[in-house]
Amino acid sequence: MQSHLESKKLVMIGVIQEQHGDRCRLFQQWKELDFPIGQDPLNQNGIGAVPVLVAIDEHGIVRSRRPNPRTIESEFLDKEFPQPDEPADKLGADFSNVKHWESMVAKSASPSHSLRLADSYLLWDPTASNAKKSIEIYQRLLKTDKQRGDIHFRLGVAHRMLYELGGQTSAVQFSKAVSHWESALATNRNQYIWWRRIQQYGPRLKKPYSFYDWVAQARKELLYRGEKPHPLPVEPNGAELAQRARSMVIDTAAKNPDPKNEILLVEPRWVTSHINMVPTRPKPGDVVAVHVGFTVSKLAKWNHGTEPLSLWLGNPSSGARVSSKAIHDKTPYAQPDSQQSVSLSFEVQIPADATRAIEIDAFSIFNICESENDQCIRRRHNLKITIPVQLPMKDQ
Amino acid sequence: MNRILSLSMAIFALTVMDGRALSQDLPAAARYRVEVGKAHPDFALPRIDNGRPLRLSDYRGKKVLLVHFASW
Repeated sequence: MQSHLESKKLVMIGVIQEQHGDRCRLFQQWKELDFPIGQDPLNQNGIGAVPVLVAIDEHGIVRSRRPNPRTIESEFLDKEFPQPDEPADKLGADFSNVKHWESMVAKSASPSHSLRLADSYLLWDPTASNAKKSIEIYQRLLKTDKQRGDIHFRLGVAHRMLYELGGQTSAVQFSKAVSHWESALATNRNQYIWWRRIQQYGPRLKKPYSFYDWVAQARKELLYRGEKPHPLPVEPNGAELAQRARSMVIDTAAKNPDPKNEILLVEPRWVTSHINMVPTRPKPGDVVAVHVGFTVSKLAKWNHGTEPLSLWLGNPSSGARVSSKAIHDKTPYAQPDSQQSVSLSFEVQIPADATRAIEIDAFSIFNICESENDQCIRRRHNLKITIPVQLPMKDQ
Repeated sequence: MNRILSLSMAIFALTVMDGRALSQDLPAAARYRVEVGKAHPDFALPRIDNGRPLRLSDYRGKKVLLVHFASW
């Protein structure tokens, strides 16, 4: 196949089905993929699984769905295909032009135009403000048919985008993203691209594999090659790097780093935390992935160089079990000081006989540099994690 | 100014539209169905390396191998 590409008898183009195009950009750099790759985070093309290979002739006509490398030359490349009677579909030239779709909606706010505009905002001008506009449009479209999985999926993408564009400070946006992806999947259990988006942030027992553990290896090899790895605005977090598990792995060896509560509490104005879980409505017996996000004030900085931020979990209520008592931030920061939000993840096994929400007292320890007095100090932040449990309906 | 005006009109139009009108014209959910011998639907997606549109129709006249994939 490579020789056909080099001889330009064949052109390869790629389309990725991921929320984060920049991660694939790093993958492209690492694997030295020199063909153009487009990103379809909204699953606009409706593809249900990957990988898919399609051979398309010079007139835009599909000639094979699984081209065989041994016969592609004789059956596809060396053949001249006739001009079709009907030309292949062409999109409007302004498909990627946000202003074009704004003016189209201004003329006629048909659902078709509105959907294009909302997609256009997210694909071609993904700002927090535009993500909010897209959410508003999708929500309106969804009112007419709550079973539209593709709109739920787009809403999930938009909320997750807004969560990240907003510095990962709004737990609600993350939670809404997962909730809409769950609603999307409920309409079509065989849509694996939608399912993957939930698995990306979900518990290890439901993961097919670790999604982004290749990132560390890619960076290492690129640096060895003398290249600067493509930067990632949003680092893959613990859940995305977690390997698949066949059973709940419990790590109870860690020791409480502050058993006597001696480390001074950070003032609330400097650090805030928020909690999300996947699935959003766990039932007794489920394993839940819990994501805890930490945000530092704009007037302060983390000092990761001294000590990475860590999270300590107390014993959960109702006999629930946690995957690890102590979780450490392993993000490879370029500088010891950072204002980037930190996200840590762990899992909780809810007992099959649970009858109420699970509660976990937790605290984090970190070094923070407050601009007020220019000091970097070690501080503690307490938080309570509550996992609501959806109980089965009782027979009347 | 024109942009603000057109956006305001768009939002107004969406606001006054009732649910019935919406349902009449909402395109069906896309399903990736490609058939041998039929045209592949065109698409325009942002390229991950430069953000410019990647359009299938820009490759007319060339034999194309289209691969849908993910880095995970």
